[in-house]
Amino acid sequence: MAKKSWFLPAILGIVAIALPPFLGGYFQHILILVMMWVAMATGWNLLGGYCGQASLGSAAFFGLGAYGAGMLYLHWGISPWWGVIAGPLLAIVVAIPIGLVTFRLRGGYFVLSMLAVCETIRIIFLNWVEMSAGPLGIVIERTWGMEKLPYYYMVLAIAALSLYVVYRLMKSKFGYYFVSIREDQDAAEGLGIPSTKYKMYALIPCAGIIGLAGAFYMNYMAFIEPNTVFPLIISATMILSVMLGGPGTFWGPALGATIFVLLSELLRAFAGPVIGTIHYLIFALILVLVIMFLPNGIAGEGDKIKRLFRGKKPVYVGGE
Amino acid sequence: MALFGQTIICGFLMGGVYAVIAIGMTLILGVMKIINIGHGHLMMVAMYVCFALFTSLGLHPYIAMFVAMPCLFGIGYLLQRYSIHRVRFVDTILPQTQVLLTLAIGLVFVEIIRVIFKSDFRSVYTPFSSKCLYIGDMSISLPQLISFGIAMAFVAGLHILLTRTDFGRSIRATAQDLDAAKYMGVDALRVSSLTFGLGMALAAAGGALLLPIFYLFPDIGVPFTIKALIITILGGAGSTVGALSGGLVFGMAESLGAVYWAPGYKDVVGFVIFLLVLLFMPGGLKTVIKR
Amino acid sequence: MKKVKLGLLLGLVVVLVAAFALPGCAPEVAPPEEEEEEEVPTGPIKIGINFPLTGAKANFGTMDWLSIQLAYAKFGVEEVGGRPIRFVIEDNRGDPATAKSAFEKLATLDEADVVLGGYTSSCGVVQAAAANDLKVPFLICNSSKDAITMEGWEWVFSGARVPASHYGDNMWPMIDEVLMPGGVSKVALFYEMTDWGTSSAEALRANFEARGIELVYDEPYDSDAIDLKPMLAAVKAAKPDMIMAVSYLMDASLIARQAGELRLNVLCFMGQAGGYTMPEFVVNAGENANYILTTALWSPFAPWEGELAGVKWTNQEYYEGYLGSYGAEPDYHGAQGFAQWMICLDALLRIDAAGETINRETIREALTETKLMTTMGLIEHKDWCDDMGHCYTNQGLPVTYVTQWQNLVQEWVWPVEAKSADYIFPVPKWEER
Repeated sequence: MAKKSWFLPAILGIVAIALPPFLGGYFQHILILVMMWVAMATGWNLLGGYCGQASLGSAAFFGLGAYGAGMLYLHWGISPWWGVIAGPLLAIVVAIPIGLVTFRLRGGYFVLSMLAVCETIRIIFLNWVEMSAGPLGIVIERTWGMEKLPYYYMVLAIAALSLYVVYRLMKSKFGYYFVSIREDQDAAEGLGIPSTKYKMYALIPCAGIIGLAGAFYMNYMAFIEPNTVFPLIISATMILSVMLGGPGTFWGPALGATIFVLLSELLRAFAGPVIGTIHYLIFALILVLVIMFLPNGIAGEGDKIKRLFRGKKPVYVGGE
Repeated sequence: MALFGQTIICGFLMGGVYAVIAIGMTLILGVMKIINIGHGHLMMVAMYVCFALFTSLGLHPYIAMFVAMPCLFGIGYLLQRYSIHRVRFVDTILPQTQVLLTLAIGLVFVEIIRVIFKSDFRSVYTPFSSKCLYIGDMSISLPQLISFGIAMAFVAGLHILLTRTDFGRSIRATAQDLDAAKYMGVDALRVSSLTFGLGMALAAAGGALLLPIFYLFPDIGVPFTIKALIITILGGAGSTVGALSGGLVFGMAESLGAVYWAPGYKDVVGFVIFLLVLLFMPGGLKTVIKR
Repeated sequence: MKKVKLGLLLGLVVVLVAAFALPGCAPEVAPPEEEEEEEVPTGPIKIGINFPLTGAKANFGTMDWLSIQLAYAKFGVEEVGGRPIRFVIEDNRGDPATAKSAFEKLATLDEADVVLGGYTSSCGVVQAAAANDLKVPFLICNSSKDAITMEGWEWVFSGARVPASHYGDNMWPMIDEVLMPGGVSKVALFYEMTDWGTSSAEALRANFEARGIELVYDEPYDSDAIDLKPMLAAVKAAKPDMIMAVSYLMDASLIARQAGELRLNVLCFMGQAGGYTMPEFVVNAGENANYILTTALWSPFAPWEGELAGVKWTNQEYYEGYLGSYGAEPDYHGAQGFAQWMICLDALLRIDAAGETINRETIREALTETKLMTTMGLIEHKDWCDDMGHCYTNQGLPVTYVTQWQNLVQEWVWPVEAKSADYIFPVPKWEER
């Protein structure tokens, strides 16, 4: 993990704080999306990258966070900003029983069970109209209309918080336990690490962070409905961001999310008019190539030699 | 009573088609431990092949199937050999890299089809599509019945292939113990590529059987991937009999859920079954059947 | 080595951010200039287009855009007040967050004077909110969500779009005068689980109950469902006199086919616009489509005609033009797109005729005074409330009517004054067809 390189986060932080006021509304909006995905990818990485419990259903936490905020407004007329507390709380409360059930499964089966859980939650939110307004969704009044900077600094704070939480956790003994569970769960249990308990310790902050991003999404977009906050593509985007940047690395997910959002927007908005409707095809192809040739992500390939001391695979990465 | 009978008939016939789609997945998951999230997307590609043959040459999907299956076999073989296999044995931080790779490959296929055929809805409708047999107040859709028959033929064929031929034995050997199979002289890469191709060909068959009774658009795949996964887990990975019984049970559960619970919640039935089986009967139905 | 790596990463991020940031610095300088009253813009009039042109929702987004292009070519107006008209196209893939990005780009970076968009409810509501924040006139084509014009957003214009709860307005007189005297007292209602389906069902339910009609079945369903027979079997068991179905495109065909297979006999099968009115419906449902009644927002038979920019047009011409140019039949989504370009062009021409400068503010003012015959009938942007207590802003109310599929042709049967064929009620049993 980034040990002594304090100047890097400092520079990034200064750029992130000082640059946006000089940008137009569109670019501020893009940066808001970047920061939101940075927070979510970082959160996902805690459970998926460090603890090895890759979930294909993390959109559940995102949606629950968003609905935590939205339902406050829907039922009691409370400002959805309180969702910043209620959203993550709801996500965590629901995550705990989910974890208790799904953590009994391993590997691919865990991936699938999370997918099933997420889809189940989506269907419940669609059908239970009295609770969630169903497919009508929730429309709220926005606090700031044209002004984007308050939203930006809020989501920047969320992203920073998520990085901080992950950093502190990974510096503590929890971090070592998480990695040991990922590397070999049986060995970890043999050494007396209760794996379900520690997976839970990874799940709770993960659900909280993703839920927080969801609550922010509700406030920023001012409209949610189950199919926009629970779809498979949100879970997949989280994972693919992490894959792109590097699972199990500290800066990887943030980097991956940044590249993911900017690249898809670049292809859509700037290359799109030139290359036409194939822009998304190109994006998907890039994803396939990254997973095939950089399976540990851009940041992860640096540590490859260390991790692969028993592997036979040569290291092929530029900039050595 | 008529309602109950009709529900069971619908579920049973649909279950047969689900079984063919799922059997490809069960083969891939059972033999190679690869969770293929792109399964439904590749089935969609096969459906477009059939659709193109129907519009250009007027071939009925039941015939076009025999073109689509080799096509998909080829795609599956190449994918496994040159893409998925590559990731499988690379030491990665996340063991689930191949799951994500199949997801991304699925996206690529959806976008390729979208560029060629646009996002429009298509279907192969012939007057034959809504012919029915009637038993009292209950109706049995003829194309569904034929699909069911063809589906059963494929299941039986695959079962024979796996149990009675050398190739089948090497597939099952690879499934049981990869290293041991290698020592016995099984070319694991070849077997796994062929198996993947075979799985995809079966998905293509399922797609072709579905085409006359359903419709087609590029994003059709995801629900079928999910259904195939549920059936695979329900039946037990790697088992043809399991996939068949899983498909029938799942089809009927869905159907009963739509009638006696609510049409909106019927997918939840599948997910609940899925989670319960994973937790309490990890081997799936095949463990029960074997006894 | 690690530092080199991190340095590289940082560099990459900076480059990507800069790729966005550098062009982004420009628009921030522009707004203060606009505040000077005397400034007369000389560049092109920019029309933002914000539709799903790729992705799962692309079929109707593309139909809208093609219809707008057709209308642009039809009326032949390429410049207004000496300024050429230029379209700026943004694809939003049907995703609300992307739709917002696209709208922000159109509003700030491209400086569009007016934006046309709005397919899928969730994209529409996000775009409309952005339009109101950024003060860009926004003409919404399809998104049927009631709430879009219920928020008092004065920059959002929804003349040709119909709010979901009003899709069936003209069906009620027919129910009162024909169906209820004909013996309809029990209705089975099922609807797709979307905003449009649920809002429609709310309005339908209230109106059926007000008439004392019993709802013997009332369930939402998933429009992606593969087999709808179990649901239809349950409907059959409930023994309704009439079916009221709110469906998307292909599930409508599937329902029609499977209702035939199950011999689900009712006095009448009424669809709620959407899937039941589309050309693909009859292709996929075949002869099962016959006798199905459906509420409709538009049909090629609608007798609308008029003159705009010195060019005479008829509704039929739009239909034939689309069929001729693109080799496919349009449906009401396309007609709404065509109408929105007419409304937009009309506003631009009126501003120019009054000798004013064309900018966002004058376009908005001109749009509030719109009164124009279009492919969706006479459109006015008005503020009004309905008896469900929904109050709309800048909302037109296109005429809706009832059509029936007869011998695979969609005939206009209600209101009878403009009918192209007589309605058939009660419909023959499936066995006797």
